[in-house]
Amino acid sequence: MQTFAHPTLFGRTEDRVVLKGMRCGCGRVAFPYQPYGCEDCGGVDTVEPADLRAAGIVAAAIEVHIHFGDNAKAPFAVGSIKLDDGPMIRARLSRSDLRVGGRVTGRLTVPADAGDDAPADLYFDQDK
Amino acid sequence: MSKNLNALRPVYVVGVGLHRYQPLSDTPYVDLGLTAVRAALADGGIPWEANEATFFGTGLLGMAAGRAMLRHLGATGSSVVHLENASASGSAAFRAACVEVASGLADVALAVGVDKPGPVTHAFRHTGIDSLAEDLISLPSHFALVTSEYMSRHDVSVEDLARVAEKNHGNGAKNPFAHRQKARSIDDILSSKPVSGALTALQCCPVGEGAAAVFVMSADAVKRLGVAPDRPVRIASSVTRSEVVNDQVSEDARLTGTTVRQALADAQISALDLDVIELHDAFSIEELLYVEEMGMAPLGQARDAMRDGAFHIGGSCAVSPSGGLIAMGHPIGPTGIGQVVEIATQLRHKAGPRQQPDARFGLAHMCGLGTVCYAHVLTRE
Repeated sequence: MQTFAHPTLFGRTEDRVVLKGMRCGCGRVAFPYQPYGCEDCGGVDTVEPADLRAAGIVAAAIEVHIHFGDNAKAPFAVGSIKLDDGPMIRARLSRSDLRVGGRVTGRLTVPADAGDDAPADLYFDQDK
Repeated sequence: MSKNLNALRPVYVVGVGLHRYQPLSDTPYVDLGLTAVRAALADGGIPWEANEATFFGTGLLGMAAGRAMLRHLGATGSSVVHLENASASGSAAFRAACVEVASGLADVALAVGVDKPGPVTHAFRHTGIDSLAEDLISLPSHFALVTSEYMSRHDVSVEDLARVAEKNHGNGAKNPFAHRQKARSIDDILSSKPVSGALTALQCCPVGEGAAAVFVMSADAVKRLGVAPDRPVRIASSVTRSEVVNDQVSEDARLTGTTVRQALADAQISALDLDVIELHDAFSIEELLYVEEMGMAPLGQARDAMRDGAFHIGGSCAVSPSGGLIAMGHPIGPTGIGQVVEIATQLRHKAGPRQQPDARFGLAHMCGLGTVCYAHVLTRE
């Protein structure tokens, strides 16, 4: 059984990876889902969970050279992605030389240096 | 209806003082802070007993740092409030002191910022909301992402980015209170240690220890205390705002634009009237972004103005003449107050080798995590 590094943030349907976001009656679409209230209008009862497509355009991409913390070992790549469904998110990238402006899709991957039963994490990679 | 600061009575910066910003040492924070406060008292010719309210900006010292330091100036029973607003903690303390005097609640108030590097707990990591990569994106990486977006949108090279740091290290080399006091070439800057994305170590601010203090007072107090006429510098506006819904790579830039435009409007001047700016250049990219948002250069063209020397001392507007956060340093609590010290010194025409000729209007700008933003316009009447 595949486990996920952030089960509250992403999952998989039959045919694709989904991000667990939210929609508000005011029109705002946001990621991730949270129950506290809409960041735009403040509505609480107006908010409901919504699966968002893990696909969009790279707005920024970098390689991190120095990282303090034991949750990752530098170098690694992160980026800002403008999702097709609206929100701007920040996520791990498969590599740092992804072209800004290029299309990317999120893929669930177990890092090569992790064990077979390690949870899958979400990495965005350029579309073929 | 709400009012802006200008609708209240005038407030003046009268006494300014610093303890050098420097790497972490064994010097207790009390020593750092008292040095800055005593320098400010001497600068303004102010007796400590005249102070009615202290606003203590600190992000890292821990709870109740103020009284343990201020007690050594003599007990007066005046009020003490501590303010934490991330990188803008000092700016928050300065604004609070200005409001206290402008409103008439006090005639004399002190804004003092003191910090030493220490463990930091970021509350925003404990909201109960998980994130995909926020725990991998430190502040340098946040601004490296901003850099990536900016460089792809505008024709800006790594040399253009490094030119900001070259200028600010050069200014810091002339500032005895700066953390970094060594001029650096573009080659030095680009070959320094890679940190994140295009940012290298000499394009990132050092976070060390230090202190800054500013006394503000009313016109009544200036007269009553017999303050020397070359000391007072008027606070022409004070504006603070926080971010709206963040759907951009750089909300810091948009928020800076909103906040500074309001501060300039309140002061009834235009961006082109500014002679001196101290801004939140924690990372080199920020200076390019913010001078554009402030209206000092068209979008994407700060690079050209920087190449032409427009933002150097002696240019059309000296930006970060203290050395900015990149060279003067960013000890957190003191930073926003230290900016006011530099602006006041420039407007008094006492900045020595860092003096911007004929400086009359200055702007102090800070961003803090959150995101929050402060803008203060100062002028010599």
